[in-house]
Amino acid sequence: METIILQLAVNGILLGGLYALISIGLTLIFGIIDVVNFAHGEFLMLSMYFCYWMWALFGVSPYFSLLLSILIFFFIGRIVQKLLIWPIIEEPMLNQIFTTLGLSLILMNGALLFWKADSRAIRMPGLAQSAEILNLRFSYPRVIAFIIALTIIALLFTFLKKTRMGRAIRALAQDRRASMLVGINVDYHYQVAFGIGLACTAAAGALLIPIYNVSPTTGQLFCLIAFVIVVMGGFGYLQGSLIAGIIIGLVESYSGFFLSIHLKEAVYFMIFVLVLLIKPSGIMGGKER
Amino acid sequence: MKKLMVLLFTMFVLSILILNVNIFASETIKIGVLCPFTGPGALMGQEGYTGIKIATDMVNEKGGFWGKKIELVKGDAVDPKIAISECERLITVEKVDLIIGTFSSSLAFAATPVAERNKIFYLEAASMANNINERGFKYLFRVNTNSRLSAISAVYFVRDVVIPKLDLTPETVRIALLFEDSEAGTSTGEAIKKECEKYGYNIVLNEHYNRATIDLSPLVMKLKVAEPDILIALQYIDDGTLYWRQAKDLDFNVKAFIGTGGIHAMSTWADTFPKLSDYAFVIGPGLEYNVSGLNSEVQAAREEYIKRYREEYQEVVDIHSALGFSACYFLYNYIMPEAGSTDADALREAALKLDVPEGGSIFGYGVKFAPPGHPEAGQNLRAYRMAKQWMGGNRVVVWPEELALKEPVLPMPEWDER
Amino acid sequence: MKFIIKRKNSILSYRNIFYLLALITLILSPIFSQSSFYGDILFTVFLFAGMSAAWNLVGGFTGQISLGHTVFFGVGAYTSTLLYLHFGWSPWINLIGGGLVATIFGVILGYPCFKLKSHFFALTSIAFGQIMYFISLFWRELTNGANGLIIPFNPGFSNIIFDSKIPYTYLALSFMLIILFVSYLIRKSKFGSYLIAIKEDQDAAESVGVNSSQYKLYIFMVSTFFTGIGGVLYARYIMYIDPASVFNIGISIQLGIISILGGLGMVLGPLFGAIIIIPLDILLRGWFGQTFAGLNYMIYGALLIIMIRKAPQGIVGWLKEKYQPYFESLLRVSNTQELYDDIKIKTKEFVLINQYGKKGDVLLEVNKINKRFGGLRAVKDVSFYIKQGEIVGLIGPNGAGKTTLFNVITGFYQPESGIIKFMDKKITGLRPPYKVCDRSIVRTFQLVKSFNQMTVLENVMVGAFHKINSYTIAEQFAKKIIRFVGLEKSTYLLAKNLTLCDKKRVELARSLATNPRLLLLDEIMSGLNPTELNEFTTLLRKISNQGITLFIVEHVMKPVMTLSDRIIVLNYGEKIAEGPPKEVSENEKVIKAYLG
Repeated sequence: METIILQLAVNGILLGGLYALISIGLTLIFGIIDVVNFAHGEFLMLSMYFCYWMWALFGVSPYFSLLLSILIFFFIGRIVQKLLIWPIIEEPMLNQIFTTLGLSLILMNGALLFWKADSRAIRMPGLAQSAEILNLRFSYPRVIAFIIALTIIALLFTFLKKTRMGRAIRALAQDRRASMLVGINVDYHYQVAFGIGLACTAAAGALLIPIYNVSPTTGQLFCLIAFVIVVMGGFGYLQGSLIAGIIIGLVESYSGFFLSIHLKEAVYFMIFVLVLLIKPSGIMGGKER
Repeated sequence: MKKLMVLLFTMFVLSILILNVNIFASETIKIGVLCPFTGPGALMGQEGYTGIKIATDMVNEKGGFWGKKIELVKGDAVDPKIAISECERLITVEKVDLIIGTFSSSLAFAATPVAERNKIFYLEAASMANNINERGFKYLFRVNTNSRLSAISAVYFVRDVVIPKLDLTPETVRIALLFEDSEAGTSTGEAIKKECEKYGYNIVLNEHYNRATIDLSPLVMKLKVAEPDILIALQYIDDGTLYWRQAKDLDFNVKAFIGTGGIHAMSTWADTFPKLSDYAFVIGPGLEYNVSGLNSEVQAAREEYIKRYREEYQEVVDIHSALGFSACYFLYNYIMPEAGSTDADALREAALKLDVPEGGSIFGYGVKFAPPGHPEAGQNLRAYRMAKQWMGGNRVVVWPEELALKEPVLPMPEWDER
Repeated sequence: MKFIIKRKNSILSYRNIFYLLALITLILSPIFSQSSFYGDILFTVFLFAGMSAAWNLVGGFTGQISLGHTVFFGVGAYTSTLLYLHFGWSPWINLIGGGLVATIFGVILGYPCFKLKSHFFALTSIAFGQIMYFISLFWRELTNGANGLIIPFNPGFSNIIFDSKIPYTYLALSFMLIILFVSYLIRKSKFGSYLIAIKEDQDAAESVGVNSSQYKLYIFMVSTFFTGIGGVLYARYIMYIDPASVFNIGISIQLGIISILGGLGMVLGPLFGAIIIIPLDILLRGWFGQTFAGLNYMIYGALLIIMIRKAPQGIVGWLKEKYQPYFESLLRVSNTQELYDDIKIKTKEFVLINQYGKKGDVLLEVNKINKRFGGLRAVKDVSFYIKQGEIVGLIGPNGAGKTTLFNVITGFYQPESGIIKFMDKKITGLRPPYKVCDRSIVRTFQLVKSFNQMTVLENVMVGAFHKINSYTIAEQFAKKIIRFVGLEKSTYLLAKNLTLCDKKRVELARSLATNPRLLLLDEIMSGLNPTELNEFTTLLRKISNQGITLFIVEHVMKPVMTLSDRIIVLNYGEKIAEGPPKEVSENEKVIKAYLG
């Protein structure tokens, strides 16, 4: 029985790592630019497709495509920020929500148009293994994803705290007008921030494709979870996403086993709502906004 | 902004006019094809259409019916509400003579009453839910199996082949049921549960899950604890793939895995898991079987269909396409000739008269529709499903014996050994 | 001149004829659609226009973006169907029943969530949609899970099931017309003014006594009630419901898109939006659906982005901009006439309705107030009092804690310790801010907060509604106050088009309209040029003469020194001096604080 309990824990934690991974980009963008990117899931989906095609057409492993994907999506992020987000940055929330929703529709159906509704999966026999340690099973792709998620968070943390650009971005997150007044080029730094956000999402996509299939609607599924994690962890708090992700992963794992697999989604949504009502600033969020 | 408005408005007006003009006078027989061409069911609808189209082409090449060619008119049933309005459109604007559909239970539910009200003959090619045919409709006929008949086939297979071959008995066997929770999964799952209970089998786990799920590991853990011998499931592509991967990750093994449709009936299964897909069974309509039992016309039709499909689309024939073709086979070879016209009542009478024995269609079964008054009025009671086993990337029919091309291989080896 | 006035008020004005014709067309349209295909489109247009109008009440009028309205739609559909199937209740009763149950859900879900900021609220609403979807899938005993519920085809008026589309379409049309009418009534009422004020600037609204939580809840209840009824109609029409079709985020989004396209916050917006979107949707699918699957939704998405950017006011807003000036120019002349007529009738100079208290009584008592932010003590042990009829000024260098003190008094911040009494009753930490206004204390803001999308008149009316319920009387009162502050020429202009000075007047007028006893002004003089400063000084004196007590925080020295009876000086959060202006200006500590 203990093996079961422990295995559930392992499952939950690894799942939590995945959740954190897909949320990093979202929380970063929201924390810094104060824009809710409803198209977040679609970018994840596009990155998954990119890595899929790299594998299907050229036989490249997604772990290599990861790097390429990060670069490409960084630039895409800058463009999206400049063309779509910047013009409406001062507009009411409603405009932001529906603009990114519109983008989401375009991207999702663009994928449908070009690649049809088929669900795509990559085959990497070497990867579909798991290690057995102490009677517990650890699936390779998930462990890799977990480790890389931690690495990304650590890297971002260092970037934001130690580098000049990172500090500028943090200043922007605090107060846009004040930053403008001290000469920070808001547009440029927002582009960088958005670019980094999308790059993280791209990384997530590359790490997800060995585990999950991709189809035009895959993004929607992950997007919702990302939102839950981000709100729970506190918008803009990277460590918060990790903690929230792991908590939700564990809750899912245990409630799915002891209660019902059917209800586990309902369970974490209810947790989400509770968090929103009790402490909307999330686990790590503190300041009055 | 103003120009955009004017443009939109003009487009709107023009399209109303265009849609109203019936350019083609009825020199053709118009058959409406109502299935999802976009949206979540797009894959099945699009494939289904290919089969229908091939069948129609074959008929048209021979001159069609009564001097007229058949024209297919598409209706895109994205979701139930749209299915209804598309059905309306096919009937009232396109003025189709009859409708073939629907490749999804919820869509069929919603749309079929529309046809019934308008007295249009509706031929259901591929939807599973039982209650589509449980409303006493006069003009609705389903040629393929419903969940109840599928379940019966599945459990016969378990009873007659799997249990004996695993050296188990009805008292000792442990069965787990795992179904996704859309209509197909729910109705099939319930039907199979009923059948298993009939034989007194021990059901150690019966779970439904939402197929848009991101994680099935708790479920796999539950299965590990339950220790079933046989796992019967209905899974679609994303969830089926996820389940298989996670079952391997967590080292959960069963002696027999029986899929009842979904991904296990598709070539995607072997594509995704070149080696790991072996040994799995799937209960479903089959094309690759011992055809000696078929009458020669059907054999020829089957070969022609497969040939054309391979030429135009891909090597492995998709089952939905075959379902579409099969439905049309019934329509063009049995129903319409007997009816003599596309009048709904004539078609209905012809359908009710049909008594085609075993071997009368490309899936091997014959046809006899349940008569009015029967709780499943309009259902083809002779439809059944075969059991196929995946091996080396191919599905081969292993049951019923008369149609089997190979012997089933049991038990399924553990993960490390595949 | 008289003739023109008659024109505007008469029933036969151009505007009303236009509306009448449109109404007749709408009513006759179902009959003229020859096939039931068009009937279907019409039904869908009316149903969605109605539901979108219900959504608009919350999203457009009040600025709360809900992406979870599908919950209420689905709840209405399921409730009515279950009541009909299990208990045989008449669908006509179930219409109301479905609406009521949806409203209950609306209260459960809305009430706690209104405290959340916009995007949190949007996210929560999405989450609720998902939760309901899962619950309805899982609770098979109740909802039949994924298999859904079928309503047997038993045509009959009492069943709300019909053979042809026409009765359905009329039902949907009535539904839509009712909601549009309700929207119109709300728009032109105190309720509506308050909602728009909340949307424009919730803090400013609270400061003039608007209990924003309560109003948000009320409108949400109205909105969800109607959305629930929409769900019932849908269920009777399709005769089949399942979780995926009624608990579907696509519906929530579509309701929003329709209102945005048509014009958020505009009564007729949803109608225009639905007329365009629904047929467009069906057409695009017809053209592109099969050959280029997905292209139609791409166009949808692009349309959305373009609309938000280029025409955020929607179709109706755009039409208004184009054609309203026509009507305006006709109207403007006559309206000024009316104003003069009005003034002729009531000749006396503007007088406040209720005078209370004697000059010289202690009105506001501030006792040892302490406020800190983290480690910083912004206000330290500050005590003073203000007497009825006084003008008291509060000055101090930047960062002295003046605005913080203001915020504490008016309920925007909670002090750590200390007592504030007004008219001898404790008001320390009175929250939310609208309660402070209920006690007859009103404030203005440092960064002027006018309701930009409202006219000057509408702005001031929001204040007037605090003590007046009737729309017409509030309008009259507001006009008087507008004249009092010297803004009558701008009565019908949008606040956003005013100069800074005039915007401040609007804020002042709005505050006055609540009939306060104590008026707190937060740096109202900042940014004004010398002429304007003089005008304002005169105006403030005029207000004081009416018997209103003024407490002015100021940076600009001359006016506050001229006006005040007494000055309080704050430095680093502490009171360092208090007394008549001349005394304070010669006080050494004060001079040092400013210069040293």
